[in-house]
Amino acid sequence: MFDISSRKLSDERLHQSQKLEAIGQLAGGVAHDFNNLLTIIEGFAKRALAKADDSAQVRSSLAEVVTAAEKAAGLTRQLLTFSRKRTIARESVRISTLFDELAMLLRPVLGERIELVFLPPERDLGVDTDPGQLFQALVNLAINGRDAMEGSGRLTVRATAADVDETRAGRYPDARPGRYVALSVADEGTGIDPKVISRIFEPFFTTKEAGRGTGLGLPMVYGFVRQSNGFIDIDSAIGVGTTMTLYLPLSEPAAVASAEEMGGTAFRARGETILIAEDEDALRRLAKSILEELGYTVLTATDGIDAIEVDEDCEGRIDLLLTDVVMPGLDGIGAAQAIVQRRPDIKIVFMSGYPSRGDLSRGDLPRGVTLLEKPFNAYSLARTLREALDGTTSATETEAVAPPAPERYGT
Amino acid sequence: MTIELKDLRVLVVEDSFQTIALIRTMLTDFGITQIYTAKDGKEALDFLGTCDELIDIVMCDWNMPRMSGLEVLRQVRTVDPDMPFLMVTGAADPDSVLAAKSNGVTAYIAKPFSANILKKKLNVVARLLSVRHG
Repeated sequence: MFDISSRKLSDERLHQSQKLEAIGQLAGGVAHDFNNLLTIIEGFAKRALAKADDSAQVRSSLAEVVTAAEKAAGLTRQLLTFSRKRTIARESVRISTLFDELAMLLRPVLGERIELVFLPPERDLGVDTDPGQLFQALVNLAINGRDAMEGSGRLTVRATAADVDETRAGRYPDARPGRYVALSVADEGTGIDPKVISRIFEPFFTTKEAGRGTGLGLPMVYGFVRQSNGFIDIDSAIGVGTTMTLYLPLSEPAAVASAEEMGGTAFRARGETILIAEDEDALRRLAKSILEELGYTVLTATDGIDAIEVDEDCEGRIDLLLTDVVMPGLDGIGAAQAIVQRRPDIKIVFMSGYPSRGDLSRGDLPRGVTLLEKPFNAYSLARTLREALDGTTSATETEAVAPPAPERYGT
Repeated sequence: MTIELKDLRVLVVEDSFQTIALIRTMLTDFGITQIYTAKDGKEALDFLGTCDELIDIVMCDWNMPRMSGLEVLRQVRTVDPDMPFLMVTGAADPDSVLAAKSNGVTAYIAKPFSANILKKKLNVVARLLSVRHG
């Protein structure tokens, strides 16, 4: 037996996906040219504002130009996300953290007449994606839900683990089989008219009244999810409501170590911030995940130059730099030297894959340096950092840290 | 040796004369006095071929007619693997970013950018050069 309706649905989705791809190419080109023009408009307007005399009329006119240019830049950013012309960060985002932040932001945005319900997964999950863009995508969906309910009703945000097999993945042109986190936003609103459902991800298509929507919220969600190697499911019924489900790749559970593996409470953070510089994506994500589990605030950089950029951007404290030694562009020693100049009290821990320390032979190492040899495990990482922060290891001295767990990272 | 922002010698490669004018005013506001400009990749490479030692950083637009910023980067890297190279881009899709990274781009700046963002990027370059020149 051949399931014609299922085949027809798949064909329609494929056609829609190809259409969005073509629109994306066009939108990306337009956004690029607009960004060139906005650079000039915003740049000169700000400069003119800085140099303007005391004429209130001139100043307020220039301020309007700057505000409009900033708004336009926000729109082009969304267009670039839709057309997948923006780089996205890849991090393991914890659902528990995401829900906490969403709850704080959404309650005032949605208003008192919307009941906001969060249904977290049974055990905390992680998704492998860009945290900022994921947050923006869920906010866009929540605002659409609020508008569909005309200001009152229940909005449910749910996360569950989802194993997607070949058959299920075949129903969506963008989907691949695998392990996902299904993040859904469900409203009790008017539902989406079946006649327009195939167009809702097109840029500037909106069913909202003039002036209420830009028509870029859902295209942004679409582009972001596709770029994260995920896909979207829409379930909508007129008069009942809409559930939009984002399927995003599940973070590998190896990232999570138990409290015992990390030395119990002895090696936990005491309010410190750590900057990790590591060019190996998986190792950087893993170290971040372990350190966040220990309670540290974690900043990350993909190489030595990026570490200086993060340091330059950070107005607050950075207590410790955990850096690989060998990295492209600028190595860990160079990055440490640059950062120590600005933050003389920062502690430095080098991660090295060379037991002979041949890569650490360069002179004038910053003071207070500790070495963590790769491969390391959660315990040795937790202990080395705690000791470096407490000043209980001597400079450039490594010691054999007995790991209780067999798993080691960074080989 | 500490290199300060104002000490940087910058080559701006950009086909839009308005953008060149804007960047020049921003750099001048930072106290930078040694600013060179090229209207396309060929002019930039010709300049670097004769006056490489006059430049601390190349600040190059990605999308230019005839020669892209990526091609300029590739050619600069064949003669100077360490020259700080700041790519200015209106759209950075992952494939292009990967290509630029594998060709040794130092940093990116996305259009539209503010003077503060540019200042931060150039501060990073000044700190990088301070470390390199020890």
